[in-house]
Amino acid sequence: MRYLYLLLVVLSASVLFYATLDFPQWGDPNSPASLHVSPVYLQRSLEDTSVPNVVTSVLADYRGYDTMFETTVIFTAGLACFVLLRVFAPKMKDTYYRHIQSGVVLHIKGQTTLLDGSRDFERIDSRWVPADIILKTISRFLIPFIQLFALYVVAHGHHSPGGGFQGGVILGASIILLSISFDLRTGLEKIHERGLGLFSATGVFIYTGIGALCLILGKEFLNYGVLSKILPVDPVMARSLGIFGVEVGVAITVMAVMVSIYNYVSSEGRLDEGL
Amino acid sequence: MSGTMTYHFSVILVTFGLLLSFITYAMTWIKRSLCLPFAVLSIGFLSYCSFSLFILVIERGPFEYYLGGWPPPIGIAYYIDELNAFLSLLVYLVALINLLCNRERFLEKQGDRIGGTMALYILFITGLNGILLTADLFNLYVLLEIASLTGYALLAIGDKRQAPFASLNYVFLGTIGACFYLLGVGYLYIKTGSLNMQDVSRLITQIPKSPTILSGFIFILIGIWIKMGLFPFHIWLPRAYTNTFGPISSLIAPLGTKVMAYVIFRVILFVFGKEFSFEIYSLGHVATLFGVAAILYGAITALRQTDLRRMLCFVVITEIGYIVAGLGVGNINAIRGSLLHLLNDVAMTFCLFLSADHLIVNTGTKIEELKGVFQKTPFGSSIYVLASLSVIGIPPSPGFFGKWYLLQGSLEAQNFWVFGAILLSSLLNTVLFFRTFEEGYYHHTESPSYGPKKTSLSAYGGILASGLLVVLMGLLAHPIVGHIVDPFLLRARLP
Amino acid sequence: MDSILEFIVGRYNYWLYILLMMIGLYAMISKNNLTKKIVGMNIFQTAIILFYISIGFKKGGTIPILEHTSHAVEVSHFVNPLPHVLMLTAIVVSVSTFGVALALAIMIYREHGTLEEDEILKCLEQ
Repeated sequence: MRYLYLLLVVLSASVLFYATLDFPQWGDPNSPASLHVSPVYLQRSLEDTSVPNVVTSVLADYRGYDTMFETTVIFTAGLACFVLLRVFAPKMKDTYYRHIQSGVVLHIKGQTTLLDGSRDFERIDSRWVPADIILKTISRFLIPFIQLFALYVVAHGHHSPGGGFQGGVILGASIILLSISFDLRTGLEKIHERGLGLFSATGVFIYTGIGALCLILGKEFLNYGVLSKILPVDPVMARSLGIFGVEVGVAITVMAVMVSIYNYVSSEGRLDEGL
Repeated sequence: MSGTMTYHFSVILVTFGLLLSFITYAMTWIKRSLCLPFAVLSIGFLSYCSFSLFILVIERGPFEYYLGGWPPPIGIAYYIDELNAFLSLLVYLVALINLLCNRERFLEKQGDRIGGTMALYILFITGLNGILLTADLFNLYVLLEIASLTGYALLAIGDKRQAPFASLNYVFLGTIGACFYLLGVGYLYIKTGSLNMQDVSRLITQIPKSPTILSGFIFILIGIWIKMGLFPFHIWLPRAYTNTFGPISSLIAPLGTKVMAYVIFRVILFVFGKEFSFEIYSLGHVATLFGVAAILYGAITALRQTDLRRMLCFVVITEIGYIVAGLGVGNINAIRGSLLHLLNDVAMTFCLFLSADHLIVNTGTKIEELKGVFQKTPFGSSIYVLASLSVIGIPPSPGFFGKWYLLQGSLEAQNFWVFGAILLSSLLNTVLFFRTFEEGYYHHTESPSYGPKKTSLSAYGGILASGLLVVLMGLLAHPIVGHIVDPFLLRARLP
Repeated sequence: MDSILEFIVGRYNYWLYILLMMIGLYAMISKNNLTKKIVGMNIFQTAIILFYISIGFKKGGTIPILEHTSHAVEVSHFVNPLPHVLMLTAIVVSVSTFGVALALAIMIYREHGTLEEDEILKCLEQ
């Protein structure tokens, strides 16, 4: 059986090799791919959209329609994890509280929120290991800076490498870091499931909504230029602002979906105890 | 609606599908009981849009829509013609009828997760519609992934032991398929520098003998063939469709594979072109080989099945075989037959799966459990009989017309392999379906519990509507060929 | 001899992506453990990303971020932005597929208590 698989792999590899025979040299500036459509983007990006980062302008404007579906793909992944994994009835039967001063753990049969507000006790997971003080302190220091950097990456996507996806992932990572270094409950207290669900839908809704707004204003879908009718700027600037608007939407969705995938996968959909 | 506004229906159809699905999901966190009615209304609205688009195309002919206002090779374009507008209407009708018919069952099965499930449902059909309408090779890939991801998630709902495993297998094969497609598009891009179908097709004619283009062609074909479940690549199909939740199988089985079959036609006839595929390279022989193999394999393996829905999955594989074999024969009648069969098959397979699901709910999944089901639920069974007769190809049914053109085409091309395979498989299908009729009609259970299980009026309505769809497709076969299929073939420069 | 060497060296990115892709494909079709298969799937998708990015590269080209002052853009100075955009989409797709595959693997583990394919199949046949 293994030889059959190897044969299959070798067969596909030979087709790939065959195709490569005809490729232009790697890095050839005169290859067809570099000559046909892409020069137009490089030459016209600034005058059309006033965005110096051509990747951003192609991503969100010239081929913005693809990017809308790309965001939808992310949204779909979050949705799929919710539908497949979410169990609303928690499986965990018992509750554990730890007395902070003495370290004594109370094991209470059944579900309770008895000591939740207490200052002397903290709720812990059933497979609790003492969290490292260095880890906790460092991540507490770092998280605000990570989030600030994420916002910078989103906002500065017009002028430097970055944009909605990158910024959204960094933002999501900061919250996941919180959940990992403390526990899942701490992460969920900051931004709970309902918020994540609504955020993930809102982000893509902003993207599609801006597209639909252009439609309502009388031009093609996602033709941001027409936004100048309602914004006090000229069409070129309107394109730039439209791109920024959709990038924000993308960032919101990506953040929410990354965190919710982590939540559902790490707790097997029960959202009670994480890693 | 003004005249210009109606052109926007092409994009409204897809993007409002997205918007409405986002709202449906968001409602999970606001008011859960509203999710389902909202989803029904959304699909109703989208079906209306789709209908208006179809009327528009019939009245004024095909048109292009530039997204973001950028003309194609720079931007992405939609190309709407009679065939894809009609197919998109069919997709929405099937989704609407299926949802109306199975509302209660979805609610019962999914409970609190109904909002997410409905959002996936709408996203799935939206993805399929995007695939149908787009004229951009890369946009097609993105939409393919949306349809696949939602498909994986939906198929995993169902029998807890089997469905997730079947679905994960589909994830692996589906990813190989989608990646091969993407790789093929990359090969076309490296040689042409463009992603728009029309533009690529123009540039390919200048370099027809390039090994890269040929490899791109091979990879795109294999990628789509995996996705549509053609014979040697079908291994994911029976398991995934058998073990899933009934209403999901009646949604995905008719739509998923047929839309991918449409993509095959679109890519071969409008990107690579007839000369490239049939004259420079002999796609005809390869497609005939695969098609005939799929027809025979599907028809014979179906006979061996004991599970009703699994049996129907092999019928789907046979039908895919007809479509590919017709393409392989390559003359106008055969391709006309295979396109007509594609359209009819959406209605037939849907009706078959929906009514079979009704029978399964009333009896059990095995064929021998069907005993006495015709007495138990005469209405559902008669629709099942209608659909199966159509699949066999009894004259006034839609299945007959598709096969007729296919037979005619294969005779003209002297392609007796296809001719024989179609006749033989029709015969085998007759045996296959009459075996289930026999179980249902002649055998009585010892203690027949008369009357079907509690089935709501809307479920009956849905089954009836699916039957009507089949009858309509049969009655309208002639205008469909004349106004929908033939203009498509004319634009593909088939004589 | 020199021309062959030049042919090979001039396309070394393309040879690498083929190698990477075949590793992924082999893992996907031959491994028994579902987690390994999922990892193979990810390698497979990454190979395609490498391929596309290689298409976009130009010798001597820099990142496609222009300056506001320059009016005439010398196209050969900047790499092709389009493959980068396309691959952003492909990355997102591969992450999403990975997420869904993990969710499915968790569902399977919940039901069968194992991720070895042969054990699951044995379990299903009973």
